[in-house]
Amino acid sequence: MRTEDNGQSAERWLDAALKQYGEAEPRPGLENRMLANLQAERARLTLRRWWWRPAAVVVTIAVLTAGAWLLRRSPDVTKVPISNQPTVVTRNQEPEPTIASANRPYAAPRPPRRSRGESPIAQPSSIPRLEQFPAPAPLSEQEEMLAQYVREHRQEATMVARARAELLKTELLRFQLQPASPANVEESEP
Amino acid sequence: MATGQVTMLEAVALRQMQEDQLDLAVREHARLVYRVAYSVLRDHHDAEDATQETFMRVLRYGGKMTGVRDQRTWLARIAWRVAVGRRKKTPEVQLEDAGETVTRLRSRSPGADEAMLDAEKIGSLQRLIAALPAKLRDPLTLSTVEEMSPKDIAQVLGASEAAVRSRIFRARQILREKLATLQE
Repeated sequence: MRTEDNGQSAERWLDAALKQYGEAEPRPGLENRMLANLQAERARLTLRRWWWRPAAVVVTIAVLTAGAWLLRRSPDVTKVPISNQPTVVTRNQEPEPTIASANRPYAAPRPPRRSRGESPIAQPSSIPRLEQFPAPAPLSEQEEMLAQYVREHRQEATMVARARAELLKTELLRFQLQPASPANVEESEP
Repeated sequence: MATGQVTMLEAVALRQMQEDQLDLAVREHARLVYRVAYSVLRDHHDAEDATQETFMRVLRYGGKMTGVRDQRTWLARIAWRVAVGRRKKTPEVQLEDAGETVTRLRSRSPGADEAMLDAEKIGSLQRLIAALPAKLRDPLTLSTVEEMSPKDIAQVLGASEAAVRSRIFRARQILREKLATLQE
């Protein structure tokens, strides 16, 4: 009898407990919160679906601008004066103004490009820049004596130089007029 | 050109229809989804998060919703999976340990049968249910959700209705016996 009562009691307790176990009321406004979050998610998904279009436009514009800039800039390179003096380019050296850039309105000089980690202090180049190629050699002893003679006796030196030039010209003419023959050759030989 | 426009319009219309369908599903079944999640997680915040995640999944794979015949059970199934995935690993509880708590509560208040079960008692029942084998626990947990019939539970769990009924019966029997034994 007592066992049956206990069993019924347990049954009732279990029914009530399971019923209460399953009862769960969400906070008010659950549906509205869900709908709002879904709306936000939809907007995010739409944005993600279309984001590449403006990005593609921006990239295209950037490429076209860069291409136009390169095309406009390329003729300047051909106008750079060519000299037989090789330009020794050193780092941190200011680029020399070209002819084309001289015609343009003044633009502030751009700072030299530096690679990352490079110190801003200019480093001396190991190769000196040459003003003339080949480099002028110092005068020999005879040349120095000649130069000194010219400085001191300019008129005499001029006369000697003219006489020397005349003599050379005469000898050249005579050499050209006389046909080359063994006799002449023997005569001309000392 | 005209065909392209028609296709685009159709796509927009289809998307709009899916959105309306989902909004309607939220209004009609949000509570059921919440209760299914709560029956597993036993926490209001977690249940609401699981409800949110359920509808987000539906939104991401919204194309499938159109072909679903029974949306209610379909949503309950998704909610069940989401909740089970979120369920923290509960420590193993022995039935004897859980029973001791129930005995203590019952001895404290003899008229507890009629009295309203408080949160502590629900907690003790939760411990008893948690101690059941998963095969019996899952149908019993879902059966506590008012809107879920054994047929719905069978669809959610992917079992036959007869198997679900049998498992619920066995789970209740175990709990009842445990309670009766502890009371003696």
